[in-house]
Amino acid sequence: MAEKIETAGVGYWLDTRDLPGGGDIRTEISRGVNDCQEVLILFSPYSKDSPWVSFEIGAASIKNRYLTPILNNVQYTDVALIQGIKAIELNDFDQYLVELKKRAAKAAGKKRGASKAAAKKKSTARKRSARQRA
Amino acid sequence: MAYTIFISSDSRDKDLARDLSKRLEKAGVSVTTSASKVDNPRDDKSRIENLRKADEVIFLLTSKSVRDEKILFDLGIATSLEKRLAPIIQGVKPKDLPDIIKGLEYIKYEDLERYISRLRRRVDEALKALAKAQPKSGESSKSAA
Repeated sequence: MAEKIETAGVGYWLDTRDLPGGGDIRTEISRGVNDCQEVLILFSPYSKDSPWVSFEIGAASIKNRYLTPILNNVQYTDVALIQGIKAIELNDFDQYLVELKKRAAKAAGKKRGASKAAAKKKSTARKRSARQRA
Repeated sequence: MAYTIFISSDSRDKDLARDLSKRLEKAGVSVTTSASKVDNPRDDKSRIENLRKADEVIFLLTSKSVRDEKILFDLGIATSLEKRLAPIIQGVKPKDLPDIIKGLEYIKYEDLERYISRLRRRVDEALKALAKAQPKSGESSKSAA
């Protein structure tokens, strides 16, 4: 999943890869969630009852992160905390990537628009002060 | 503004949560709890609002609730909000705590008075800091003049 996200041109923070040794895991995960725009949670028979998963859903919810549960051999109705959120089957992960690319492009467009507007504002202010000096 | 503690607990431990709540209120703090009729805590706006407003968050963990997903959800929120976290355990052996709790400084229910006496000190300090931050009466009108 992480490789596919990267190939789609989106950066990622992966709990099992990016947790620094010696740090407080709870704080680091909460920072990781804070630094991202979206959170993917993989539910498998091994992870669906993991305390960390409930913790991560809480951290993502309070920061209003776009949360997508990915289901691998887990029934949607078996996970109470994700009821009401659109989940995706692991087999349909490519469908998520198509949507992710659209959201990333939109966010990049907004960012470009914001920096263009800031540059225009700066240039207008410069011209005005040059006119005043003249 | 009163010093506030949020208690996150399982509904099956409501009697214990009520006892805890009474003892904390006796110590002079305001208490809010996770008790709610809303099934999914993500949809429970007052729970989330109370967590936001709390100065400290207590996680009441018993043999029934030690892996309760709603309590762990609250732990994720409280950690993100950088709240002071206080797991209180009753009837659970420390070795049976999940890793996510093990790293935290937990309190045994039988040692609750020790936690409350430290809490009283924190409340006093918070009140002193608040009094220091507020202008003395008449000060604002003087400076306005």
